[in-house]
Amino acid sequence: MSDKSEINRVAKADRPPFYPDEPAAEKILAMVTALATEVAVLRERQDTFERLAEEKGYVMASEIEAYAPSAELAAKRRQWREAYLDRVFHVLLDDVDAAQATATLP
Amino acid sequence: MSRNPDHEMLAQPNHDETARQMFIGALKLFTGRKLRAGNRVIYERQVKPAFEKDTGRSPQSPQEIEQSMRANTHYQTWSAIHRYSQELMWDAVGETILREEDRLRAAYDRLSSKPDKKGSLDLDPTIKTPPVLNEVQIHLQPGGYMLNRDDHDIVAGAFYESGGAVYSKAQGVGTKETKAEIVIRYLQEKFPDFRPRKILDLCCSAGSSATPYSFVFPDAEVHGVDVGPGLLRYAHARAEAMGAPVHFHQRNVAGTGFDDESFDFVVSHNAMHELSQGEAEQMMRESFRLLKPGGICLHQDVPLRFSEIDAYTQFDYNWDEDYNGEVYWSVYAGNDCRSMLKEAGFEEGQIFEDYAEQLDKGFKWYVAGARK
Repeated sequence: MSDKSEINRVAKADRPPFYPDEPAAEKILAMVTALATEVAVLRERQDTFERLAEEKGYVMASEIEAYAPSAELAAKRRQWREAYLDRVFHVLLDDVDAAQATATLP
Repeated sequence: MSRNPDHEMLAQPNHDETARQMFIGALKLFTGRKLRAGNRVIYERQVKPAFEKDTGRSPQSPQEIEQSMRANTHYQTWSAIHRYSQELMWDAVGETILREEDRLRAAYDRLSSKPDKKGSLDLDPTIKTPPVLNEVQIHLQPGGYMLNRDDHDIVAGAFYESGGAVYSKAQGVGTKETKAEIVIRYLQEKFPDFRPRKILDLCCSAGSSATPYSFVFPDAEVHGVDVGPGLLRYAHARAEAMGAPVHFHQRNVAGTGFDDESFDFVVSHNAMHELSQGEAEQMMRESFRLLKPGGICLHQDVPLRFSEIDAYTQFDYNWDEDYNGEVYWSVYAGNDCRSMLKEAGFEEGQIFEDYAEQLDKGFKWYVAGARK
């Protein structure tokens, strides 16, 4: 069961209980933290893009409003959302992985 | 025909509203499919063994499974997020609809009063409405199906169509068939000789199933009935915007007021799970009464039959009744549609119960019906 051949992207070491009586609160805190990180990444990327676009003078706000992605890009964005959800809610997927790895009691 | 056709009555999300709706759609698929499948692993590997250790036996009923799962942290968290995703969906869709409301109302006024209309709208505020529709917001839709703030209110229909679109758009590529098109294909395979000239869609809501019938059977006269005036106004203007000749009426399925033996085809889409057992029985009787000899009725709904699924899956399905305002979800799943049709007057050998599959095999709907 303890296969160390692959290092997990997500830290899975035992987490000390911060709120022993509120395990759900810990899960929520973990997700909100992950979500805050992702929003910050997004915000910074967009800020960089907008500054570059403005410097070079080639994107208008109205063009962003009117932008329609191609089918190919729409599919790419769909894949991105799925991976993003896996990241934000990884603590719940970890629960299932851990349960899966547990042998059922006799 | 696209499952999400563009038309003048559709609330148009701007850039950020689109991004928000697409994300919420993905979130709903994530919680509704991926995480939901994980719940069963949690049950089998953790919750059930713990129950067995405590009691010396396995959980016997959906209620026992429910009790033990609701005490599980993982399940509690999933349940909360799954509920939030539905609330977020309406919130996001509502932002677009309310921003667009003035335009939509003006479009309704113009489309419903133009002289060369192809269809019609017949509202009757005196009809009997099931009280539950005024008390409960089915699947949490803001204002519910009966939302009717004034004589130009189309918001109930806008919510119905835009909410459904979030879910189907998130599923992405694949065959985009409407429920009506799946039923038409099923019908043509099962009854190749059948050419209906007069069609009735019961509980037609925003009219997105009624319009395909008028396109596929251009010689047929198509009618739709529902109890919600805001749904019907929207459905009427939507059909006119698409050039579909459909006649909408505010009627109760228990007594539509049409003449005996006046229709060739009586259909309902996702209606049975929103009716009490008594109302579903009345709908079957009304189907029999309205059909001409040789006519067919077909009632399509979610593939949820308690007779075909185990106790865990029953418990899993019941979530929508407890947390998503689907008041008759388990009543529907327990209904014996074959017996209902028989009791309504149809001959045993003419009754069918089956599944109608999407072209891309991605989903199948339950169908129950009969030929008179």
